[in-house]
Amino acid sequence: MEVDKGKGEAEETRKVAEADRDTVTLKSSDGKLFEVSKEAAARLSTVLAGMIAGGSIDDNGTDLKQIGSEALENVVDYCNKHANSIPSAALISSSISFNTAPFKEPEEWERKFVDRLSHDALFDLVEAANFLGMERLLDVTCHKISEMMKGKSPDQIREVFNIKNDYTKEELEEIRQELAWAFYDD
Amino acid sequence: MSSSADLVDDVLAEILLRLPPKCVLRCRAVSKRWRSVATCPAFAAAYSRRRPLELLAYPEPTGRRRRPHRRRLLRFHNPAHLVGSCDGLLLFVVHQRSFLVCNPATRHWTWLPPLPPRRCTYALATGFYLHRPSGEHRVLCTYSVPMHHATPGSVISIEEAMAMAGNFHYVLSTGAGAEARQLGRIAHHTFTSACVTLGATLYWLHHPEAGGGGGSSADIVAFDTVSETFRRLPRPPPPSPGSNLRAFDMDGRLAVSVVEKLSRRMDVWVLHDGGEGSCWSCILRIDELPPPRYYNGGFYQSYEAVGVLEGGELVVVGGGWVVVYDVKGKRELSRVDHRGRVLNLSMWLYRESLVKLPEPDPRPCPISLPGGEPLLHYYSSSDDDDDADVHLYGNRISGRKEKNKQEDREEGKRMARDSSLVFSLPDALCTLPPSPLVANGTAALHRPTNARHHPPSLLQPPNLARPTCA
Repeated sequence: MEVDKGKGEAEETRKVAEADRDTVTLKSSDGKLFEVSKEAAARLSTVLAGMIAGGSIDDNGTDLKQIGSEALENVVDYCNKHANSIPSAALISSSISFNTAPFKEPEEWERKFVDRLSHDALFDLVEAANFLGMERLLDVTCHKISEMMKGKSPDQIREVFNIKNDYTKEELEEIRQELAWAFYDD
Repeated sequence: MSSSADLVDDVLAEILLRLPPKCVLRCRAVSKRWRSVATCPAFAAAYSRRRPLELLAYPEPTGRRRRPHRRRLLRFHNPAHLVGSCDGLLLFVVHQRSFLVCNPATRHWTWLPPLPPRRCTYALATGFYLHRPSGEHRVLCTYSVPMHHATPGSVISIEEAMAMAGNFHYVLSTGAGAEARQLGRIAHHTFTSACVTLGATLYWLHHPEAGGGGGSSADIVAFDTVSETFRRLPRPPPPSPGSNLRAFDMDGRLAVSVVEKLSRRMDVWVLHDGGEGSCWSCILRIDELPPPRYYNGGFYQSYEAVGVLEGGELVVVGGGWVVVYDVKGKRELSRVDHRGRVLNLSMWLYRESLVKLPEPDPRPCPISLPGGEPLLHYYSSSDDDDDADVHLYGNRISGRKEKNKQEDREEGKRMARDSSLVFSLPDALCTLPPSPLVANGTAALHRPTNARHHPPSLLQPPNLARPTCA
């Protein structure tokens, strides 16, 4: 009887503590744990906001199996440091098919944030931002990658992006004929 | 370690959306998967939605080389005139009776179906629009056949000649295998003003179907592009005689800018609801537009609103200026000196797109420059061009005072400092110096030498163009 009561109380305290906690613990695919402000996570990521609202946040670390520790570290870093200067993800529609406004240029700190990343880290981060529904982070990382592509030939792009050319010689020639002007620099 | 080869399609599309058209086209050659992402219709639609609305000015007003955020979209030569812009496609009329559509972003082009052969005729595009049910881009045009030239080289009766002569509405389509289709005869042929396209309806302030000779009190004419019928709408409350009116699209509603004769004040009226219960209300008044300029032949045309760019920026052209006005903040954001030898500056709104033409012509574009230049020359000037001289014009106006030049220079510096402001302006099109028209057989014989593709605006009070100072 006594024991049961104590257990109930402990359960209650734990629940209260959980509700009061202002951070969320996230677990990367390789098992590392990261703490991020609940408010920032909910505001910047539509997916995390949904999980918090739906109560599917695990106190011992919410599993994010699709995201490696390096990318998650960057995500958390982005959320914690810059939460206040970013508008809420929920206010912006996240699907490309509904967006009508021209793209907003990244701000100085956002530029710096992505500029320090290696190619691989950048590609991991863009996938993580897409997975978590983080509109602005996706915007900033995609902008950075598009900058890397500007003015490059298809061969150079394949090299940077580590892509195998699956066209036959004839097919490639056909595309080049069709769009000849696009392959010359101004 | 991830490699980019496994970027999911959504992310790849997000990246490609941020590239200029030329880069997107190049990316088609990277791999089959990239090609499928870069060519899918949903991507093309999202791509044009993400482009900013830009203003095309044509012809280039002066000889100054560089201006803020300006880029040359396309080169074309004299027999061609820009007469329409829709979904990133530009419509040109060539030799006054043939229409050519091209997408400067993809450099695809095609001829529209020919109008019936008649000697000494001309066609005037009155509307260029997307016909939603078919997905085709179409041109509504007025085709004029003078009585005495109705028959190419044969003897016919008066009755036959009368049946052939006249003015007709025609619809031309980019659709594969389409032919020119006559919509009907025009009873009273009058001037047609610039067309405003809102959804599936075209609007004109002045149009032959308004009836009654098309005076300044005539109705606004609307054309339903699906049912292909005309109807009339009331005008905004009649302004004083000699006012300059222009219809434009304001956030998807029909708006009319009204400037009284010799005034610098503009009222913007907006039509609420179409159909029977329609009414007009004045939603904006701009009290002081920049003072008008004059050149050695008279004043520049009076002020008129051309359109609204992103973020509620109203573009007003007139008096030798292009003014960008913040509708919400009710203040002028910036102005560009737009003096030059051209009086009737033609302005079009343009949004880059990857819209495909059903049957692009593989041949070199006939209106492009001769001599092996690229079909459509395209470049983008850098946005961070902060040369203080950027906004200035050469002193082409005879007898101007040194002081004015000094003022201009100061202003140029100020504008250059402000150039990070809002300009997705202005002119992107450039023409070559006029070259003699190319004669093509009989069509050249009776071509009226003074025929123009931008008829002088009736909206523009004629006495405004008269010099008032020697």
